[in-house]
Amino acid sequence: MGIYGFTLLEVIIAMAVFAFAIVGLATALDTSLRSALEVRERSLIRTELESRLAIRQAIPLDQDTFVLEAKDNHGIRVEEKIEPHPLTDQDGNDVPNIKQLSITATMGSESDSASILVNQP
Amino acid sequence: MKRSPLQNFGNSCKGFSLIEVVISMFILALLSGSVYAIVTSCMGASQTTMTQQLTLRRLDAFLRVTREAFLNLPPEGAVSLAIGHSQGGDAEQELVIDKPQEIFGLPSLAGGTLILAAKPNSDGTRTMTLLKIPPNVTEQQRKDAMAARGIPLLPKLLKPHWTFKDATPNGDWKEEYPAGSPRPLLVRLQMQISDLPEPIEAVFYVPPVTASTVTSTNAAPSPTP
Repeated sequence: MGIYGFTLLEVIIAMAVFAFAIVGLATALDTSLRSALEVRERSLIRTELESRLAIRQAIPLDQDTFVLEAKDNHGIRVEEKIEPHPLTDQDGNDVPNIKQLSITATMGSESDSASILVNQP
Repeated sequence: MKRSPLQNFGNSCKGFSLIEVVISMFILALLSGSVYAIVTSCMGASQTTMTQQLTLRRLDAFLRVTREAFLNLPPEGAVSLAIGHSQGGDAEQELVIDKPQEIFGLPSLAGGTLILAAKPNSDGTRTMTLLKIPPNVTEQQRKDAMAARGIPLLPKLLKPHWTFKDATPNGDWKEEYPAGSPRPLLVRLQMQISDLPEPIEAVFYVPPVTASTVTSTNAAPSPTP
């Protein structure tokens, strides 16, 4: 009974310090992995947007809205929308056949969009 | 009999018992193991992240250069697909760009034929490589040019696959596009990269040749978009 050991408070404090260190490391690991995934998804989304813009330069969208589900498009959901866009020239006259093409690509939790004006009767 | 100092020390101080030492070493091993596992995971994740970011930068640069190459293709330029054979005998697709004219931004690449070939590596992956075939060469000179190392653009590719879509209405993607075919409207590259889990698909637009394009090109060099 004369042997001195650690008190319960000391043990709890030591375990709490250790737990803080472990949680910090695990959080850093999780953040790093999430950032890598986010960067990868954003990069692939941008590639997809450029590809869809290339396709729409060759094959104009012939309906108001077009949706490509992720399961049919290597994991990236694409939504394309085209609508008339009012535009006037420097003399104030309406420029006909100008439409705005908007493309939104979604992958996982990331999403990005591009929008261009097209001359399409 | 006289006792040694060590024996005196051992008798006067109480040490840890064997069970205490074993338990403490067991706890130390558990803590060390958990810290080691987490640090190893962190380092592995960091390395994976760096590798993926490098791969994504390379992919982005390759796609940008290739996209600009197709956009800047001169009116007399032509695109086709050839089937070559690697040194191991495997068939490989070769994207052939005739009469390029500085389309990859390097004046030394002008003239002749440029070939985007997926050269095999020893680890089973392929490297998308840019090769130049000078104009008016013999078959042997062409083989020598194809065997050259070329300019490596994108490494660690798996199953690169080119397909084409021409101006035919509602036409499907064509697996074969031999020399002499009309200029395609779209060129698609499907592939996997060993560092990325997702498949990659990129579509490139090839501007069609019109009478106004030819006229303006004859009058002045076409600007880079």
